[in-house]
Formats: sequence, C-alpha cells, structure tokens
Amino acid sequence: MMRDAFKRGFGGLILFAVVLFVCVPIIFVVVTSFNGKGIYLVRAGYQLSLHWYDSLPHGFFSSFKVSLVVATASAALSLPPGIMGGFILVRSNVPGKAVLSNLFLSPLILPLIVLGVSYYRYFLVIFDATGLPLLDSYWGLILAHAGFTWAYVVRAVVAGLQHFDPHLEEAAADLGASRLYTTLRVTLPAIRPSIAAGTIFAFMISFDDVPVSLFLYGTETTPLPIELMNYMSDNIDPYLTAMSTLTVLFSIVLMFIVEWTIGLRRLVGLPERRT
Amino acid sequence: MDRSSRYTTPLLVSACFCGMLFVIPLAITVATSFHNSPAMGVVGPNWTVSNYTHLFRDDYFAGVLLTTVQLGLVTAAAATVIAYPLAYFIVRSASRWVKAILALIVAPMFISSVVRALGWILVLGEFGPLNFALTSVGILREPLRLTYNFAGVVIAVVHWVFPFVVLILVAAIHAVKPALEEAARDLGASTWQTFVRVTLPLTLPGIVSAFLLALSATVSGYTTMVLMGGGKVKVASMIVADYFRGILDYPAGAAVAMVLLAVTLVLAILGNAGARRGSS
Repeated sequence: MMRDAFKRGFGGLILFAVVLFVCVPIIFVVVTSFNGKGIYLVRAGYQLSLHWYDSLPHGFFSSFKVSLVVATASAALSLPPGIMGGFILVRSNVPGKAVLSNLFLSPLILPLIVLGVSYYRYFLVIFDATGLPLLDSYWGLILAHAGFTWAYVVRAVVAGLQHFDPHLEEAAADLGASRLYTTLRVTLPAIRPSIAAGTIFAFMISFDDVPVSLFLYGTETTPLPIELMNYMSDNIDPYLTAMSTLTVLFSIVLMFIVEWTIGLRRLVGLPERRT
Repeated sequence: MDRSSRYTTPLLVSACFCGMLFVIPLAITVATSFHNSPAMGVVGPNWTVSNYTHLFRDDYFAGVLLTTVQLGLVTAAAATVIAYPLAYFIVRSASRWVKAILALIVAPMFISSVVRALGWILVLGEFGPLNFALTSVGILREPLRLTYNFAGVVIAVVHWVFPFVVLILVAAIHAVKPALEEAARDLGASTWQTFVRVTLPLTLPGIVSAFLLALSATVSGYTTMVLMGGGKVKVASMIVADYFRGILDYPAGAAVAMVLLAVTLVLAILGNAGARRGSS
C-alpha cells in the first residue's frame, strides 16, 4: 500500500511538472502585464496595476485588425476549394489521385518560409506582368494565406467523409433527391463539425502566421504577430506583455467557443473516451 | 451521369486553386534557384546550378544545417519522452482531471507562438524567476544563460511542438485495447513488464510518427527559433529569410529553400512509410 501511494504521488508530481511547463510562459506573460513596476517582477517587485493597458501603442490595435480581417477572409476563401478538394480525394476516381492528394495536403508539412518567399516572387511577377499590386495589400495576404490554410480544410473534410455513412446518401437518392440536393442537404450537414474544425484551424494558422506574411506585409498591412515581433526586436517592455495578454484572452474565448460548439476533442481529431 | 463527370466542377475548382496559389508560386522558386544573380534583387536570365554548388561548398551553411538537424533531433526526442507518460495518463486515467489537463495541453495551440516565445524569454531570462529560484535556493551561484542560446531555443521549441506530439501519442495509446494490458497482468506480468512488453511495442509506430512530426516541424520552423535564438542560434529557415530580406540574393535564397524543402520531404516520406508499416 505504501509503495502504491508513493508511486501515485510520484506520478502526480511528474504530471504537475509537465502541466506547469505547458502553462508557465503564458502565466508569466499575463502576470507581468499587470505589474506596475515593469518587466522584472522578481527583482523590481510587484504592484498590481492596469497602467500598461491605458496607453498601448496604436500599432498593436491596427495590426490586430489586419490579422482578424486576413484570418477571417482567408479561412472563408479556403472553404469552397477545401470542401471540394476533400470530396475529390475521398469520392472521385480521377486518374492521379495520389498526386493530387500529395499536392493538396503538402502545405501541412512544407516549411512555410519556403511558401513565403514563393508568394513574394510570385506577386512580384504578377505585378510586372499586370500592374496588380499584391505586395503590401490585404488581398495579397489573404490569397497567400488561403493558398496554404486550405489544406487544413481538405484534411478535415477527408476525415469527415471517411467516417460518413454512405447509406444516408443512398436513402436520399431512393427518396428521389438529386445528387446536388443530397450533397447539399444530407452530406454537408452531416460532416459540418469536420468542416468547422478545418476552418477554425485555417483561421488559427493564419492568425498566428509569421513566415509567410514576413515577405508580403507593408506599413499599412502588418499582421499582429509581425508587429509584436518587430516591437520585440527593439525592446521587451510591459506594453508587449499587455497586448500579448489581450491576445491570450482572445485565444481563450476562441477555445471556449470551440468547446461549446464542436468540442476540443473533435477539433484536434481525438477519439471519444472509452467508457 | 457517370462517376467521373460528376466531379468535374469540384476537380476544376480545387485543382485551379491549388495550381494558382500553390504550384505556380513554388515552381517560380524552383526555377529561381537555377538562375544566376547579376545584381542585388535581380534574377538573371541564365540557367545555372552554381547556387547549389556554392551552397555545398559553404562551411557556414553546413554549420547552420547541422544546427538545424541537431535542434530537430534534441527537440523531437525530448518532446516525445516528456509527452508519452502524459498521453498515457490522458488515455487510461479515470481521474476527473483528465478533461481539464487535456484542455491545458491543447490551449497553447490557440495562443500565438510569438506570445509563447515572449513568455519563455521572461521565464528563462537572467533576471527571470527560474534563475532567481535556482540562485536563491543555492543550487547555482551564477545565473544560467538560457536566452539567446541553443538550450533556450530547445526549451521553447519543445513547448511549441508539445501539443501535437501529445495528440499523436494519445491516439496511438488509445488504439491499444485495455484488455491486452489486463491479459498480460492476469498472466503475472508486473506493471513495468506489461508496459515494456505490450504497450510500448504496440504504440511504437505512434512514437515514431510523433518523433518525426516534431523533427519535421522543428527543421521547417521559423518564428520560435528566430525569437529565442536572438541572432545567436541560426537555423536554415533564417538563412532563407536573410537572403530574401537582407542580402537580396533571390537565387541563392531559393536554393537554400529547396534544400530545406527536400529535407522535410524526406522526413515526410519516412513518416508515411512508418505509418504504413504500423497499420499493416
């Protein structure tokens, strides 16, 4: 019995250490942002204050808006091709489907910095050919982000369709529904949680992106992660932690919305617990 | 309507989308890497392989590539080892804390990697809480240097890949039926024997894919490394950025990008082969 209790205690300690490791950097950002005495709270002491939140640099808020617009628009833009791509990979028997599958899903594993420089050169070529200015523009960021985040939608739709019971479609067809009607009213609603999970991932990846936006942004179109990074290279101060805390709050709200709608387990593709 | 024509529209839409926003931009970079560079910011008209031959003779680049791979191996090993017991707990424990712990593990995926790196700079810094605790307890006399060096990068990158590694391992352990472990124990195996002889071998494919995912993500990553490295630790993705934003030698940068791409593709092929062997 003693040994069991010892083992349980040891296991609990390891568990606690790992959870602490996961949480500690975020806790520190939040705690520091409320310290009126500045960034070195261990040395300078702690005094609860909202001082830093009063006068956040304006650039932070305009960048937050840029990120929000770009992430929302690119997630929306990647939705139609993502859903169609998922259907192609699971349902169709087009020749060369393996090649298509690799192409569609490769943004999930490629170094994003490679895509970043590729979009940069691509947009330069487009500008030279047509005069269309995509660098330093919302549209450039949106198109570039959609070009790789759509793979998250494809992956989610593929997973959803693989678990979908095709008999439901047969039943609809037997009742006289057309193919298009069946897809729109039976299949798509049935895999809606998967589509939602893919879209949320697309949004999150775009919202957090640095390596692609790095080559495309301009003074009027600086996404938040890049704004924070540029600020950080000059100085690390409590304004930075205050803005970071606001984004953490935003992330937590997003997480609760996910939990209440489709569930975190479904978002990350985990099976339900055995009971 | 037959099966193939039914999918004409979705095929056209998705293939055009992928072609316009993925294949063509990448093809431009491939082509750029085989062109000469007559002046800063100019891609010349002549075809050449000299960008690659220069790269393979460049000791600086060899060093960077070595650092990149070392970082990937250390990070992947550390993340997998730390994540395994946690994943096991999440799958097998009946504790009411499981849901909360899983939420805490997944939460960082929602939080910007810039913010997480900032957190680590605060925690690991010379005047941060970790060094304060270690020096005031008397374990250390001098504060440890953990920011802007290899160790600091490893810690933050492990934190970055951690949720993904845990999730793969949870799925792998979940696939092992508890009945198999119970059978081993009923036949007299100790908890440790059951783990080493039953659970570990059955989850080995999952361990390998978790390791390879962490390795591939680290080798191709940029944000966490650049913030934690502070210019002192250089990985391959930073060299790509340097060529395109600093030196403005696009062909040379494109060649580095292609080498990086090739490394991640090899890792992906290895991972696929492993997954296929694991499922058969």
